[in-house]
Amino acid sequence: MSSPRALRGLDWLYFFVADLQTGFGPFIAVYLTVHHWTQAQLGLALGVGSAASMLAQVPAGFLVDALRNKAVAAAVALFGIGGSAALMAWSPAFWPVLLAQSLHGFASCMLNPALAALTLGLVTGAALPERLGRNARFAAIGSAIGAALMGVCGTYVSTQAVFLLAAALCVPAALALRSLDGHIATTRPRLLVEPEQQPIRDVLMDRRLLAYIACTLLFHLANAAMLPLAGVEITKRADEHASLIIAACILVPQFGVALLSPLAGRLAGRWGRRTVLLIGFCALPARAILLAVITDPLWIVPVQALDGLGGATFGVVTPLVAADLSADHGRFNLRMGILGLAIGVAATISNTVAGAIATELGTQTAFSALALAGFCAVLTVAFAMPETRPPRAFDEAAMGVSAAQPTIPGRRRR
Amino acid sequence: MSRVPFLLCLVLIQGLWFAMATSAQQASVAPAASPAGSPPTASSPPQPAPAQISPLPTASPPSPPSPATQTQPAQPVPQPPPSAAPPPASPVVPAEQVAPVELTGVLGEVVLGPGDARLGHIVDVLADSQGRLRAVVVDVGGFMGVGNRKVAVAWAALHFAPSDKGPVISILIPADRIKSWAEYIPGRPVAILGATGSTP
Repeated sequence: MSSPRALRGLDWLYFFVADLQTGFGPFIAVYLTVHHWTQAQLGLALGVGSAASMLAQVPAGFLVDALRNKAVAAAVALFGIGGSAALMAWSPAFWPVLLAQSLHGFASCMLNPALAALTLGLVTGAALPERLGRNARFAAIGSAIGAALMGVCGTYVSTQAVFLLAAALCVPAALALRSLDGHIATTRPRLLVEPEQQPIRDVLMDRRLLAYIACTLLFHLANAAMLPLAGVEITKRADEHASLIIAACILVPQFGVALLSPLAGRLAGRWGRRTVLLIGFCALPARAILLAVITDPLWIVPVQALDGLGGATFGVVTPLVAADLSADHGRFNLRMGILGLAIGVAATISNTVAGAIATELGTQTAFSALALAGFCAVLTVAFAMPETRPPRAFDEAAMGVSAAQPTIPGRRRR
Repeated sequence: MSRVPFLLCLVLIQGLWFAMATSAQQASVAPAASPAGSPPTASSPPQPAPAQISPLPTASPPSPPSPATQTQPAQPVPQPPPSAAPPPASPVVPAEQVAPVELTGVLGEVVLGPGDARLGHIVDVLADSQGRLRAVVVDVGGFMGVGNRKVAVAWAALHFAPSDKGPVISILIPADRIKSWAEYIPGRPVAILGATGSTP
């Protein structure tokens, strides 16, 4: 329904935004330590950043829902992130960094839902699942390339240069955003124009959303601490090439996501969201058990590839489920925000608890606990998660309409 | 519905956070503003006082006033002896001027391992109640913030060498030994690598 040019613009937008977002976080600690920050100050600054990025999720989603023009929301968020990177590079003093961290937290909360909303503005109906898969593919490629680029920049130039590079990456992302601006304004699709009437209370009481929140919580409870724990094990055990192996452990899943996401999207359209989610979630306990058993650091890399499977399915199905649930009465971004908050909360708990278990009882026990959480996640998908895919008849109709009359689907209701 | 009190709690926590931020800021203006890193300088003046590292406990009374005043004391110090008029000013406070190349702030400083390979960077300095520097906390390993560990290495195990850009810090303990050493966790018993018994 949309021009191929706009869709290519969306590809690039996801690519550059992922580029921009990857490099930012990991270098903050090193950068500030080099500028003689104490551990306590550093912990505070990082804590403010993660608190902001959690607390802002739901308000940011609400705000993006309320804004009529999602492209403006995306542009504001984009420059918010770029501005915070520039601020970090310009002044590594206490208050500027705290301001940059808060700004980055809020802006990134706005950006992800806004980008997904833009996608819904360009693509609807049966084409959506595959398009979301394509988004995830370009985001994964972007974040892999971003990690490599910023890693090289941080190692050979300076950590300050990483932040300047991140700020500079705003420009191509903004250009990509501009290239699809006109198309969204003319197509005026369903989810963007329709007044958001559903009361917030009904959004929260929706059993399907609650079930998916439970799945999200358990997924990230099991998932978030796995790579950090594995990384520490690699550092302990591997002698010379530890950093290289860890880099592979970060990049291999990204390639997995890039490879599998479109397939996951296609299958989510054909088989349903629940089935695809079930397959992806099974990778979690399997990975945790393998990590608990494996002792050779080199073998951790292929096991980490399973992360690509889980990441691909979760990354595609999450916006898809939110779109399914928002199809009738809007509030897509609010749902994305709620799910984003769930991710943040679960990841924080996962890292804290698994870290404590690893310290007290050993890493094997920590991996076993993560496997247990992953197993619970699989059970939740299997027994509590309803299928959210709209009936096939509607899909066909939407596809027919979108093929025939690109400007009408906004009026259509199930 | 049950989300509302939960969110309120989170907002309160955020408020507390900012309150803590304010207090921490007051304590931290100096290190954030002056890049020279004032506290550790008292311990590592390499050239003027090579023997000062060991008798630090006895030499500690004069040292606290001096560290924060690196470049400024040069002007006030020459004045008191000739005038001798203001007796309320405390007795003669010794001061010295050191070229920036001879000193370095220790926080954030890169530590080299055997073979001059980059091992990690110093994130904290640990001193005991007698003012002796006992260990540094080194952040080793990892890539993009994943897999790095913090380990305590004895201050005595650090080697300092001069260079054009200031002192270069290195450790001769094998890298795999350091990377697999017990993690440093604040508030827990600290295992210091290279302290007395362990051979480098």
